[in-house]
Amino acid sequence: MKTSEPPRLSTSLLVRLAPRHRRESLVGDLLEQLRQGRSVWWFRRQVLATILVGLAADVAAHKLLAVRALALGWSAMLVVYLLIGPLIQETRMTLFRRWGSVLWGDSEILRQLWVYYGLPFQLVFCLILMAIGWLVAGLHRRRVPGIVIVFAATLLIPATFQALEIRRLLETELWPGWGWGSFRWALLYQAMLALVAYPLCILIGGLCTARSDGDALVEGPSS
Amino acid sequence: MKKQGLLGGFELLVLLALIRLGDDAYGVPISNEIEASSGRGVSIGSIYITLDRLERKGLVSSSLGEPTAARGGRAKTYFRITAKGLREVRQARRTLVRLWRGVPQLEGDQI
Repeated sequence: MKTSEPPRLSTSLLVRLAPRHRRESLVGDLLEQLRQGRSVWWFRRQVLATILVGLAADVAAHKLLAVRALALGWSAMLVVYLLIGPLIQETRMTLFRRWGSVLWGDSEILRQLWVYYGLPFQLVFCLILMAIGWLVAGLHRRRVPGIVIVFAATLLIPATFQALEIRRLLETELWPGWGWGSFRWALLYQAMLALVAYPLCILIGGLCTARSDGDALVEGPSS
Repeated sequence: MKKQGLLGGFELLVLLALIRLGDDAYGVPISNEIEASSGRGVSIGSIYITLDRLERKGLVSSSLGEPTAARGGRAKTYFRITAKGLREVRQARRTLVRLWRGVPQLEGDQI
């Protein structure tokens, strides 16, 4: 299929994540080629390649900044884990005991959401992660996309270990009498949170500060 | 003074495309020129990254053109090879020709 209309999502990603000082020309070049008959898929591939190549070059050119951003992000995570984590856990147990019978009554779904999935607290944790992403991005304003993506990617390291541990638990069949409707789904849910939701929260929090191409022309090449 | 490193393969392709295109060298024709010569698709992003690196080395200069409707109102960035860039290309050519010469495996069209 050939069309001169650029795909909205790809264009939106491009104007936010392409190398800033060349953004205007890059977007113009790709639009020009699309209007000359290139396919939408060609455009999407170019956008993806441009963003990845640009981010990799940006991070490679500013390794110290990337290391500082990682140290800052992981320190913030440690502070959350040590200070806010026990508070959340304690609040969760208090509310569980106090509201246990009132909140869900006979509803099994609500009970499971609260007991096994800890949904309201996961939402709080997601908000905290967004705030950490925003903090890291805010302190590295000139290198936001690359730095934030690298930080979010490092969350996948512990998440992978957690997912492997969960797989091991599921394979051991420690709870043969328990069906898929209970504990196993909760474990899979935990794995998905760590592998998908948490890195995504960092990205959302961090990239919401990424500027679009309004300022693209005023800055020179990075050094 | 920091010694200039050898040109990379892709850097050389980009500089040769700039020389061939003359005053009309911006992202689209540079990409088309390299695609036509090498027979392989290239990412426009990697061309700009390379041009940035060459500009930092002083081998290329850039200037902003006028925005056009065909480009969604966005301006072109024109690139020109500098005198230093031209010297580097000549040096790279001399080095390659010297290495090429007298290698029987590279004689004729057979590889």
